[in-house]
Amino acid sequence: METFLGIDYPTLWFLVIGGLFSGYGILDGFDLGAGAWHLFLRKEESRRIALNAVGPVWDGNEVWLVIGGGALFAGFPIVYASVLSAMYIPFILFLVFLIFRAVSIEFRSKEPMLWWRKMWDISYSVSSIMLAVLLGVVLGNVLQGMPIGKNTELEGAGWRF
Amino acid sequence: MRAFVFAVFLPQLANQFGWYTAEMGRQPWVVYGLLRTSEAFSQVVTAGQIVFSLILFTLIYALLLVLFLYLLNKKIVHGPYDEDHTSHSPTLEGWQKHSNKKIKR
Repeated sequence: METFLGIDYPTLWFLVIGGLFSGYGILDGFDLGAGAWHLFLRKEESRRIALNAVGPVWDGNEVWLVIGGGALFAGFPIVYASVLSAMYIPFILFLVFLIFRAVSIEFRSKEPMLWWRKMWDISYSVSSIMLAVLLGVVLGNVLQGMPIGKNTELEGAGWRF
Repeated sequence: MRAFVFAVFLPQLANQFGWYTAEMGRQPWVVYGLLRTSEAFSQVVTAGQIVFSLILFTLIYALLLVLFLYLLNKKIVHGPYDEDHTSHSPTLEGWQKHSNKKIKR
């Protein structure tokens, strides 16, 4: 078996992907948490401070997930295909909330109306919470073990979670 | 020069047509000459799930397009910012300076 620095490739990829997803969990955990907390901050100034705390880093943190996904695709393509197919709806909703979270951060200060800001505050906070919930759904299912058949596809109904 | 105003649509058209050409031209292959589309699609993802996601993303992109055009139009109508307002990023200082007069509380 091919090795790199004395480690075989599957183990090496496992370490790399583990490191990337751990990094994502720690870094984006911080800004998803700040987002989840957003609606519980009553004062506009507190919300502005919380937003500014994640402002310069939140999109960089999300790149860890992108690279983690890319590494999974490169290292274990069958796992990537099986998990994303089996968890199609959670991943689609994950993308939806990623869109709304990013748009909320960008759009909330673009108009002075109170309802405008309230709308994006709710969208931002709910998206942040739902992103963490959906990641929990995916990781929970993966950790519990999914019935993957010989054709590397999930067996049984698509809604197992 | 007036004619060039409509050139703003040309990159969009080029982008879309390029995409259509690439996606339709490669059929029936996913990887040309190696993997057929019929062999590549997921067995467990149902047609209903695909329809659901397609409708969902169509609605989201329609909504974002409306918002984008609204905000862009506002920016264009407003014209360039003067020297004091060159930085339009929402900083805390900026918020504090302008919140009292700009934001209805």
